[in-house]
Amino acid sequence: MLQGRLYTVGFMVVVACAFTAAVAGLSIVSKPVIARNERLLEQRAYVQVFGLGDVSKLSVDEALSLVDRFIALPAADTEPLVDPETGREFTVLRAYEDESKETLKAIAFNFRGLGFWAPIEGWLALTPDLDRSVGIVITRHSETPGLGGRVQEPIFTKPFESGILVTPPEDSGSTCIIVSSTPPPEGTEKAERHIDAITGATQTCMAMETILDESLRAFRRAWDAGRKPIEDAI
Amino acid sequence: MAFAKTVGGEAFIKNLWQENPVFRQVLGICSTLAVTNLMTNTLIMCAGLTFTTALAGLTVSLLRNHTPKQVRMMVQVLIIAAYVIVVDRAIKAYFPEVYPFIGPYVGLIITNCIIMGRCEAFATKNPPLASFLDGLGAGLGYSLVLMAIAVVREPMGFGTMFGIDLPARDVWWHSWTIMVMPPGAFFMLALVSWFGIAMTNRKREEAN
Repeated sequence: MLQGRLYTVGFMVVVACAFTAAVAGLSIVSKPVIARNERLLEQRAYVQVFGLGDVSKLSVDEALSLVDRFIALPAADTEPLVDPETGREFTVLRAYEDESKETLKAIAFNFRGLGFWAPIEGWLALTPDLDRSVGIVITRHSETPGLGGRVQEPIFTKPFESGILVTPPEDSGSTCIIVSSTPPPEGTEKAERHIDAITGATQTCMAMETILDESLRAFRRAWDAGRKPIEDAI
Repeated sequence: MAFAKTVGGEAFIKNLWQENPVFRQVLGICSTLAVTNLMTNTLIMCAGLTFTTALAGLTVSLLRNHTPKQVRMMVQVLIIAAYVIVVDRAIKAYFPEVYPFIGPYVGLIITNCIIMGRCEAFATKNPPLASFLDGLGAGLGYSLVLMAIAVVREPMGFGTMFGIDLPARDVWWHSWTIMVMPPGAFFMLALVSWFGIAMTNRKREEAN
């Protein structure tokens, strides 16, 4: 009886150790490839958000070269910008017109918020005066493929490249960016903030409107708070 | 056919159609509904499940004479989980662009009733090669149904096949939103099951 129990326990231990070792080995072997993939996807996102090239046509080396030449990534010891109101942290990327990195082209920050199913994450690039959009890229989402998932596609992201107005509106009830299927009257300020909603993805579009509005307001506060100590020091 | 007369061969062939895990045994429905709106995702999911079912069957069978009865299901879950992790890491390493969409479902392969069902019903009682073939057949049978559903859902929902636009898509195609959503999968699964069961029954009646 005891021998049977010992055998059962021993068997489980041996089998568990064998499979755990195999899985751990596989994990170690595949780690560099996975890390490289993640880094590549990240670099491609940077190229895309600043509109430096068509990522679908760029090779790995070309994407890396563009990032290296035109984008200033935050140094490892750089502290992120913090919104004093909500405590949200933002990582800031800077893209330059020239390789000498003297003329600033755009600033991008990471955003995150709750989509229809799960969090949506991405980068939003703005002009240096933070007034208009330069580009957007969604790096992570779990929305329905073909519906909400289309926020990742040019149908949703392309309009951001044309310079959507993103300053906080004077009307307190309005959002920085308006995502709706009905465009506001032409010539109005609201029309400059408008992005076409995706048919069949109302909830995701509403979520995107809220995420971007909250992120833009928080980023602006964080940006101002981050600049103040520098100005005080000067 | 000699192959069909072997234990493994018979199991392999039966699992493809006569005892198809999806429309005859009603197993693996969750992922059938979840991933079939895009053919690429479906294909990767099917490959992952077939790989896991076949190798889990083989491994369970290899250990069957040494596994104590009391812990056999724990051992099966352990084996299945290990193979699922292999699939998960492989997709993450070689299909990084698909991974964000299919990753959550890959983890759920562990709980797919087809794998556990085949391990418990077949692999614990049969030799390794036969168990491998049984698992392979069950995986391919599952794939057959999923691809049949996906081949309708993606063109109707997106106007594409494997992400490639159908000819003159802009001229004639209009999106059927329901085909992108889970209800579209319910309709398609019902139709495929109806067709599969009707065909099997007709063949049986003709044989009788």
